[in-house]
Formats: sequence, C-alpha cells, structure tokens
Amino acid sequence: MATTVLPTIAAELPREVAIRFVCGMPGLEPYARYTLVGIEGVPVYWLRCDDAPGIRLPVAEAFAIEPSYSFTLSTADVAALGLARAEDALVLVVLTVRRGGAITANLFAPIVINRQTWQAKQIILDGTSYSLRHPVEGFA
Amino acid sequence: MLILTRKKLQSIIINDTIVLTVLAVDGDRVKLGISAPSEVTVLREEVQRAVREENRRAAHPGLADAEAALRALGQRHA
Repeated sequence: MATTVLPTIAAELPREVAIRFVCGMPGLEPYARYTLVGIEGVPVYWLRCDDAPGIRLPVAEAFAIEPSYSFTLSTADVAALGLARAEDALVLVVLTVRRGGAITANLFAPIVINRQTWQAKQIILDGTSYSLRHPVEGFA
Repeated sequence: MLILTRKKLQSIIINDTIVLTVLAVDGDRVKLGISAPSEVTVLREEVQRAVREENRRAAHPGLADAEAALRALGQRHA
C-alpha cells in the first residue's frame, strides 16, 4: 500500500535544522548530512552540505510552487523515512538559479523529509509528467 | 561489466532477488521486465542522469547573488 502525501499549510521550521538523508541524492551520493537554513520572507531554504561547505542547494516548499502537487510515496520509501503519518512529510523541491536569473524547480524529484526524525530522501517520480525544470515566477 | 546474451523470454537473476526478463525484441528496441523487491529502485539510466545533472546545477547557482534572486521571488505572484 502506498501513501499519498498531503500539502503542509505552513512549514514553521526552526531557523536551522539538521537533516539526514537516508541515501545520498543523485549526483551528491557521498553526502548525507545537511543543514536546512531559512531565507527570510520566502518559503525557500538553503540545504547546506555539512561535509562539503561549498555545496548548498536552494530548496522551496513544494506546495508554495505547485499547490496541486500530488504524488504517491511507495511503501518502501515510507518505511525508509520512518513515516508514521502523511502529515509528518514535508515536501521540498530543489531550485536551480540559472545564469541570467531565471529560476526553475525540480518537481520531478522532490525531497521528502520526515518532520519527526528529520530523515530525508529525494524521490524520483519516474512515470509522472512533472517537470525537472518547472519555471518559478513567484509563490502561491 | 558482465556481458550476457539472452533470447526473448530468457531471464537474468541478480543477487537472488532481482529478475530481469527479455519480454520482446523489435528491431533496436528491447522490452525488459524487472521483478525486484519494493525497496530496490529501478530507473532508466537517462532519467537518473538527468536528475543527477540537475542536482549538480542547483548546487552551483548561475548567479553570484543567488540569494537575492530567491528573495525577489517573494515580491512576485505565481
């Protein structure tokens, strides 16, 4: 059985929180330890790699970018994240700031975080038509 | 790389738990069936490669002041 992830209305995260990836993200496989740091005024955070200070990814609350975002987490991923309830899942998407200033969001491979344990995993939504580079103009 | 030749409907077993079966061959397209435990991720190589490259691009923003561009999103409406 799989779990449908629900949107979070307001993340209300602490200013800085330690995140542990259950497995390294594609392209960043050696790294599991990150710190999520809020950016004032926007639902955007820096995901700063603890073990490689030069590496930091901008991430945004998924539902602030796509309010109707919807996907199913497999039983295996629910277990890997230790998710007891759908409400415990925080969904973030990686933002790419391109040369020239255009910003896109990766809706194809969201990062799901368990808000009870701060474990995280990047899930590739293979088989869906969500975009790897969804243009971001502002927030819902 | 281990190289094996299979005919249609033949299979390969990996690690006792993953079974790859050649279901059909049509010109240069091969239809493969994969049986694997649910915790095993199975992806087309180009899909994983695309995610890997996008993650790497995101980790190296194209602007010196990426944070200003991100903050500016708050001033615009979706």
